[in-house]
Amino acid sequence: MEKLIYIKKESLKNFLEKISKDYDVYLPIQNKKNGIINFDSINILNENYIMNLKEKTRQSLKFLFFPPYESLFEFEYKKDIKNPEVTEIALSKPGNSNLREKVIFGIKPCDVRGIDYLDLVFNSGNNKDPYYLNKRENTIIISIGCSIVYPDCFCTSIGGSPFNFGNANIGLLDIGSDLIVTKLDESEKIKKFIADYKDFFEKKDMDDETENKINEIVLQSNKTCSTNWKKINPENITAKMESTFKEDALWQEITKKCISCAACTYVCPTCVCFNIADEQKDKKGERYRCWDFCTNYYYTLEASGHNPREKIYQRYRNKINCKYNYFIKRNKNLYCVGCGRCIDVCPVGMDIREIVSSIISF
Amino acid sequence: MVNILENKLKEKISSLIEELEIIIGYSESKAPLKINPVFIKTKEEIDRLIFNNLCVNNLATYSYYLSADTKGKIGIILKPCDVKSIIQLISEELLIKNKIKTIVIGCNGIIDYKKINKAVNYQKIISAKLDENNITVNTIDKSFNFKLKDFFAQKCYVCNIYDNPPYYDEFIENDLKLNLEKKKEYEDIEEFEKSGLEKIYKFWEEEFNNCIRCYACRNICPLEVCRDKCIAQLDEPHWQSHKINSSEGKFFQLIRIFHLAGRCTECGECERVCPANIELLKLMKKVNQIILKLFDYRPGLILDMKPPLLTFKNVEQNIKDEELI
Amino acid sequence: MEIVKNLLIPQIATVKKIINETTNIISLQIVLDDNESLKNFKFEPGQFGQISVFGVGESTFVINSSPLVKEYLQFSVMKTGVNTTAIHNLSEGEKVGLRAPLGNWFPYKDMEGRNILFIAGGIGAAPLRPLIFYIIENKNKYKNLTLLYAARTPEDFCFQYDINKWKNSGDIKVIQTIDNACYGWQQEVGLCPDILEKLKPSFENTVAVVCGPPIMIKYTIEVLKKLKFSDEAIYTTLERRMKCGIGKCGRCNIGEKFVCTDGPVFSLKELNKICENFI
Ligand SMILES: Cc1cc2nc3c(=O)[nH]c(=O)nc-3n(C[C@H](O)[C@H](O)[C@H](O)COP(=O)(O)OP(=O)(O)OC[C@H]3O[C@@H](n4cnc5c(N)ncnc54)[C@H](O)[C@@H]3O)c2cc1C
Ligand code: SF4
Ligand code: SF4
Ligand code: SF4
Ligand code: SF4
Ligand code: FES
Repeated sequence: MEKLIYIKKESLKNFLEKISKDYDVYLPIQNKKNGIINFDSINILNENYIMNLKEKTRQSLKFLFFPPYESLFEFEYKKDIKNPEVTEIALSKPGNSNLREKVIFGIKPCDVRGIDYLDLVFNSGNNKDPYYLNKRENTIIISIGCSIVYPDCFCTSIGGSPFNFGNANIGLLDIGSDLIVTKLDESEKIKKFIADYKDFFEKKDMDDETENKINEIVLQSNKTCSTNWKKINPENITAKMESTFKEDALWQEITKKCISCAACTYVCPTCVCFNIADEQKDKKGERYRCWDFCTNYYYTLEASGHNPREKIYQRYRNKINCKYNYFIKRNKNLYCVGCGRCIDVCPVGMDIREIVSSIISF
Repeated sequence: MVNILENKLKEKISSLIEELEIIIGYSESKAPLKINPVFIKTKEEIDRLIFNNLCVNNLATYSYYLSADTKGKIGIILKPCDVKSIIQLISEELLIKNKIKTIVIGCNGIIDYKKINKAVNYQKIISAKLDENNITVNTIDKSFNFKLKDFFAQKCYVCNIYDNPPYYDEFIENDLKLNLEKKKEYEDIEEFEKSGLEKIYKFWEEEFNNCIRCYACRNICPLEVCRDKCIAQLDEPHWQSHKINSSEGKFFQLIRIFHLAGRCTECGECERVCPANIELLKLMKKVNQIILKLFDYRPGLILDMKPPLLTFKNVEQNIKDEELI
Repeated sequence: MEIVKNLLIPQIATVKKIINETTNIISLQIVLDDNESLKNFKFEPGQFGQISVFGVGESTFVINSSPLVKEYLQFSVMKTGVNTTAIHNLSEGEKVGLRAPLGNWFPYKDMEGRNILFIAGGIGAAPLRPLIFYIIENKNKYKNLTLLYAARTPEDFCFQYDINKWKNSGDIKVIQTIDNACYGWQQEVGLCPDILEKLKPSFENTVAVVCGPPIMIKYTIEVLKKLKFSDEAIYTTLERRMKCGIGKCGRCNIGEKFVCTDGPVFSLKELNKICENFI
């Protein structure tokens, strides 16, 4: 009979506290004062900051690996003592800060997928990104499948599912009393992790009742999620995006209410565009990068004053094409994980599903 | 009843649609407690229009950019308080009066959905139903029934123009009247200030830890017509760093505050849209309170009055030299 | 842990020489401070670099010295904005940062055995310069070479010293044109596309390489199409605002292509496959 590994809900708190002795542990934590849930260190938990595993976090996980602002290097103008005519420049590269290993607990499957896509951008090909890798390496990702699916979730429409754990190291399924381990990767790291905390990973034989429960939850979540939007086929959608690209009137129509802010971009788990800038005070300064958004007027503005995407509809069209066309061509995947965050935060009710639907039906 | 009002609105729009190039109004949204701005051009689309207590958005936001992009006249459906933004823009010569037809609807208050979010302990709301006096709100496992009168936007409790807009081209009267216990103007600000500087500073410190500098507050504001020329995003002059962190968030609000001093009509849009739930309106109101004291001026009420910060007097009555230090 | 090269950190280099090309264009000859890197530095014609003035920023310039010259790298900079102004304020001996080489290059191997028509507008001569040097050096592999170079006024031509040399050696036929007639000018007068139309170069066994401001590229390509050049035989280099130069920051995309890694050199055939306008 199949062996079942599970964590008892009542020992979850102890488990997290225990692992936080050896790892930096990050959890979805809700600020009770304003209701916002974000991934944060277990250390900030108190009566005002509580763990919330139910709902999605406001910010996606990219916050941790690709922060809104990070220093690339520092520079300093120095006079050469022997040769005072010459000003030298010293660069100090960021050290591989001795980060402790991280455990990120309670991520939704859509966010795991978001991380998979960030890996595709920052950790593949020739030009790997050391800043990202430095934070991303040595991370154990423990995901919990979605027993509750909300109206703005649509992962099943774009090839995911509430229990598709992607590249998560451990996948859990919440059946009320226990968290059942339904995915465990084969790496030595994870074997060791399970062994280290074996007191919490209990084992028993799979029984009919549990099996039925699991099947019921999976079925129900998939069903709810798939009523939230239709299925999108990557190949068809690229063709459709191509054929409608030059329909300016259509794009103007569907983007009229957009105010070209960054809310949708900055909460999106897959948007990773960034800006680079220098700042200097006296002889010292730094070059840093920070998030940027393609719906912004300055994004493509050139020195001559020429702007290839002057109007909001052109910029928004780029955004949608990036997700539902260009990325598919480059990486065979839709660049959207169906988390619905952009829908949730948009000040004027832009719904990416409606936008894509109206393009499909054009 | 709400429907009567909506019918009146639709009738009015039918009679106007021929002469207008485009009309901005409210329509249903799939998202609970929210509405969608809608842009209509034809008679067939008129049926999409709605008006109810959820019509929070200030559609004046679209006036500046849309009127620059259209040749003809545009119609905007507004609440009496929203029309203040239009007045302010016209008085600052940012908007041409003849290009805008203001269609103002009498208002009996609008719901602040952040208040409702709080009342349901910030659980995600998955559906809601509104009737005349009550609102039913459902989360994933609970149902709540609330009295509307406790959940109106802060500005409704001090509003005295709900059936008497300071300016309009068309006015549609609402049989339902705003029936709230009035509060004193800036009462909330005075209350907040009682906590003392230290506490206040700590409060903002915490609030701005969450600011992601998304510029939603700036871009939704009907008066911040500067969105594509904003000093906060320029390289030359490089006044503000591009960094995204708490202190830059605060600095960005300082820029906004100065830009909006004596201009902000306290519509509350910036606070509504902030994805970090920062209480931005407090900042705006504080500055307006000062402006009121110095210049005896409330923005957005008089069409042909030059706003005090766009002009000067040789002697300002309420500004004493010795107080300026 | 895997050691990953940090491509966002520039190398320090010294400005060895500054040449005034026109009223608003200067050329910098730059040498990497690290001897080892200098020795191993290789680039292909068409590739670009990111030059930093630390504290001001970084911007993109094509490497325009000959790939055969090992002693320095040359960049020509037109003063347009913040960083280019800072570069113009540099003096010889000062330090800059350099990230290079980046991007793809002209497929000069595919052009072997064919006539080549170079068409440049203003600063657009910069990307063509290393290619012309390379091809002249290997001229037995190529057929006839022609350069049509357009500028606003006679003072706006860059690299006049090269042009004089080329004209004298006869390696390449050079035609220069200016926008409006002016006293003493004895060559062509008129906009680049118009002159091209007048010259009517044969499309047969010919590759055209067009570089210059967007508007000039647009109309020149139209004329080339009229003259029956095929899409495969037309190459151009594109400009987009850039930050990272390595395909990460997302800024420089035209459709699914990143100008920094898939370009800056494109054939018209490739460009026609992209849904977004490239001009
Ligand atoms: C592949 C390529 C090759 C180029 N080669 C040359 C060359 O050889 N000589 C030359 O004079 N110019 C060249 N340019 C254009 C040059 O990069 C811009 O003129 C320059 O970046 C303007 O910088 P700025 O800081 O002075 O302008 P600002 O307007 O102050 O710009 C601020 C930032 O915007 C970006 N930016 C603005 N305009 C452009 C633009 N047109 N292209 C790319 N980034 C831009 C830069 O990142 C810059 O840091 C090239 C551009 C590209 C993309
Ligand atoms: S879609 Fe919404 S969130 Fe995104 S830029 Fe437009 S207004 Fe802002
Ligand atoms: S585009 Fe929207 S739904 Fe898709 S991944 Fe980004 S935030 Fe989520
Ligand atoms: S205050 Fe709020 S809306 Fe404004 S930039 Fe910050 S997060 Fe965005
Ligand atoms: S600052 Fe805020 S409250 Fe004031 S007018 Fe602008 S959006 Fe409305
Ligand atoms: S410049 Fe960053 S992706 Fe091309």
